[in-house]
Amino acid sequence: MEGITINIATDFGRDLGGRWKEYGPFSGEEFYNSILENKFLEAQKDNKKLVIQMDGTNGYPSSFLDQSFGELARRHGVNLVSDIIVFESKVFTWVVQYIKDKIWQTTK
Amino acid sequence: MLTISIFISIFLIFYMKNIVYVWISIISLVIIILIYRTKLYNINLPTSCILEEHTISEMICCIQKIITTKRRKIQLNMSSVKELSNGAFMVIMAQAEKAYNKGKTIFIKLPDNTPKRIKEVIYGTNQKIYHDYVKLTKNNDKLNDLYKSHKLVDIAQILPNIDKHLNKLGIKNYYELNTLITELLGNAVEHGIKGLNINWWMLHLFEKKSIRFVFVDMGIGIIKSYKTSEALYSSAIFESGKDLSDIELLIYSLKGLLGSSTGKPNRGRGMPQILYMVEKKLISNFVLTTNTVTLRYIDNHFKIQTHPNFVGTYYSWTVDKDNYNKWKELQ
Repeated sequence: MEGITINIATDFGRDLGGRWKEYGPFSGEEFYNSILENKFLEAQKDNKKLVIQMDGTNGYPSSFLDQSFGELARRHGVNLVSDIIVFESKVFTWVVQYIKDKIWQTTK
Repeated sequence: MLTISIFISIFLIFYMKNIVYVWISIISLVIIILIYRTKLYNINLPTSCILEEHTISEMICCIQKIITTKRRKIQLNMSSVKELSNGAFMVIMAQAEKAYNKGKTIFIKLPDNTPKRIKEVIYGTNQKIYHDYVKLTKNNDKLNDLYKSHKLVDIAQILPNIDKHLNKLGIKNYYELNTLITELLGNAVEHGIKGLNINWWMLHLFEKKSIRFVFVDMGIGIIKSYKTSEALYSSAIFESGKDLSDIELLIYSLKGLLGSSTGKPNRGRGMPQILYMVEKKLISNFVLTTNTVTLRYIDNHFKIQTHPNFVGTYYSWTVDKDNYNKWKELQ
């Protein structure tokens, strides 16, 4: 799909951490600050989709997801974020549903 | 003997008219107290040192003594121990470490005829243990050093070791389990920072066709954590006027009905994830012990037990190929 792409495993890390940067490497906060928000704003400015490729990591702690994708929705609005972001995954379909149903839904 | 000495000294102080005798009494009392505090305090560990339903109360009482005694030298006497589980021994060690960091010296008495199985548990054969203890100050100077070195939770150091054991069972890329472990560690660190004391232990142990995991967070416990947080009082459950028992607090927190004890929104998802994995049989033989309650998942429901207060949280579960296959089916 055309758009800006983030492959979490290769662009950020394979063994994801928890919520805050201070608690350990590859946290949700670090992912949000170093990659996610910048790419999101770039996609918004260029009127493109932001494709998030989820496969290749060792799993997604809920605290990581909340502090990255949840924080994005809290700061920029769930509707805008869900319009721009497209998830691609064969392995983590349940994680994608979790972000949409549990994190974004409760942020509205 | 100490009590009698104190009473005699108080009697002498108040009834002696000679100031010299009063001073002798006071100095004698101080010496007696110092001798008492430095005398070795023997704690006899029970015959069954396992955290099962019929033994847990006795175990908790024993390990409480490690912290509550005023004595400075403690001996954990294992002469009577006939059964010792890896999880129970790890809890003993975690409690002993807590006591050590309060200035106590801990000894273990292990008789020569200690069974081989018990020695294997004590010397850590066939198991891998990870743990961290960080005592923080209010100005967080040590924490800043840890932040810079990212040493607080380096999951990348832990997961590969666990994967080696899982691979022996034909389990590969069990992502749900990885996220569970990361959540538990992250929670222990986060709440530990709040309490100025990070203290967690984890072990995994290869058991024929399964792997047993035990995780211990030596904080204040989940129930106490909620009782002392504002989160509880702003939850819908509390606002409905319901007065919650310890059992209800724990069950509701598992169901995600109380949010996080931090009080912040969109938090507190770790416990519901555990419940999901337990109910979908993605993990087996689940036991959760915290404060005054233990939950054991048996025959598709939680068996509840109350007991003396365990200051901390203990999780135990197993993973085998069946759990993994169930998870694969759900994908």
